[in-house]
Amino acid sequence: MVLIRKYFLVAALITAIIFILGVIVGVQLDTMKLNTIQDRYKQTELDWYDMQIKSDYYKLYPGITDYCEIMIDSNLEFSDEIYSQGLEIERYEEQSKFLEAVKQDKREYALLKFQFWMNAIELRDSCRADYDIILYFYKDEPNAIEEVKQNAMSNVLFNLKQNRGPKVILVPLPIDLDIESINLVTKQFSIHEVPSIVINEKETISGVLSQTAITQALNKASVSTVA
Amino acid sequence: MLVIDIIYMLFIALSLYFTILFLLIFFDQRKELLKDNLPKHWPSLTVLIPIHNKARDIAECIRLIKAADYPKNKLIIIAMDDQSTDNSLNILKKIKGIKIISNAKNMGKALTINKGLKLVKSDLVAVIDGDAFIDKNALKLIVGKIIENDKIGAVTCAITTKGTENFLQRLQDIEYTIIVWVRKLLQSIDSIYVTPGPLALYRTSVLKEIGGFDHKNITEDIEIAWRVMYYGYKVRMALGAKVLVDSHKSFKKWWRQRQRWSMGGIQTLMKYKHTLFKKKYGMLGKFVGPFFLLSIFVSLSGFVVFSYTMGLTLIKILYAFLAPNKMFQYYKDIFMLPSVFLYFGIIIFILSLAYVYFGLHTMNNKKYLSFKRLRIIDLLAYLTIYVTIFPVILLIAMYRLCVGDMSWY
Repeated sequence: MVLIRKYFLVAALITAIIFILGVIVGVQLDTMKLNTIQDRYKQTELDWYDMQIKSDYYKLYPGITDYCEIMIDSNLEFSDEIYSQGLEIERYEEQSKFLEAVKQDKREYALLKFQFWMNAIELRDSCRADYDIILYFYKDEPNAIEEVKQNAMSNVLFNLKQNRGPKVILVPLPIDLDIESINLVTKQFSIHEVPSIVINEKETISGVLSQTAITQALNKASVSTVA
Repeated sequence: MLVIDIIYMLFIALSLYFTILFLLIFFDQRKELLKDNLPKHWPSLTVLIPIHNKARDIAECIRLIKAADYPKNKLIIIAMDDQSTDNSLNILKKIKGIKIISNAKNMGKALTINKGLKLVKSDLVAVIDGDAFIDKNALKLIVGKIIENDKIGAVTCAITTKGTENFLQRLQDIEYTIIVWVRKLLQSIDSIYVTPGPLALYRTSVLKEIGGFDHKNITEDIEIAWRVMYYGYKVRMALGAKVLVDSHKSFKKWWRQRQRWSMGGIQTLMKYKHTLFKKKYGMLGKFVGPFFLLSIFVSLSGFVVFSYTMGLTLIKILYAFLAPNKMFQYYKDIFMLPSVFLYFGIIIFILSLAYVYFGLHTMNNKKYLSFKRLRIIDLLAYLTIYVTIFPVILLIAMYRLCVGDMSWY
């Protein structure tokens, strides 16, 4: 009987050790991922301030160089950065099992993207830039089906971005972080489900689109035709 | 953390625990495992053979029993025909030196054995299926085991399969080998939970004391082992006592047999649910019942996690056709951004591989560990596909039990 008890106890002990070690490693991995996410947030924030300061500077000395050309380039650069970082953050978050990114950071990041979207519209209209702006609405905490759809849509948009490069600015906005300004936009464009996109503040499309469908929709609502 | 993540963690924890437990017992007992004792004296032994449509095998089955290494003056063979519709009875009538009982109507296996049990006057009684082929040493080794201790009420043996011609038979061959190995390991913790039909030995007094076989249970060989334990006796295994049985060539027959096993297991668990986690029922209450219960949980939770993951992956792949360039991003992420869940899965798989490896190696069924003739593929198929089917069988068995569908019985 003593021997039998020994087997059960030792097995429990080894299991507990492996399990606890696994959890520790898991938490450690998640912490590393979260640190990376926070670094990305911080970097994006800094880049945004830098761009804004640059904009203010050129406004202060308008004669130095072509404000529109430089700001459009900066804007496109920032757009690429914000988009690729968004993808990276999304992938890191998906693989984190024990810890979640801080909500407050996510909300700040979403607001920054929102500000960037408004800036991109302003530049496009004031400088007659020929890029299209796609607002991509997603959920930060989707259910399983929404997650699959978001992944699919994110992939379609990724391909679109690859194909069109600087001709498209993609701005992903989470709709479930309880941010008033984003709620205003979702109301304005009648966004009720995810994933949804709004092309050039003209056309709202919900659900997953194929590569062909999104290209057609973009051609239809493109700035060149809008103009 | 999602509900599915919590289920996964529980699945991992329980799988880890049981795999480690068995490996631990194996490493501690590996020298003792293969030891069998010969009997110091020869108790009288009656062999009961319940037969229903076994015309193909019965003559060979009885020839092997008669040829077994056991004193002839101590051995009585009673063949009991349960209204066979084939030629079984005529074949039996031509065999000399055996007693024959013929049921007036089909009674089922358990009642047929009980009927034979009433005629048994020997110290020990062995039950052998009419299509099982016993090894020459089988009887003396199981007898040697039972007389080791008065508290041993039943002894089981090593059952292996006859044919390995088709893929399904080879998977069953692996399965039977692992079952034998695990059953022997379970002996070390007094938890052998079945005395299978092909060959099992009982003390006659014990079998009569506990009231014979339960004809209401569709796996009477599981139920009887639980009842032996319930009455405070131990079940042992003689690893050297070998018996060959047919494995199923057709998936349909295999499927039916596994459903019967699952349903019988659940039926037995339900019957003895009052013993769960109760010390006074010994290892039956402390381990066998809980082990059965947790095995069901592990099996079903594994299935839920597997189905959920596979379902989502399938939908992702279908959607990924919309954007083919990014199709393999998920698989890249698995390696670039490791998740601890993946590592747990890998640990479980490696431990399972070790568990199966030691099982096959110890039982000397090493052909599946070889790359020759690609038999290693059979082993991988066993670890992945074959084991994955069991939760489905279990679910259907549970459903059939709930609706009272026992149509094949």
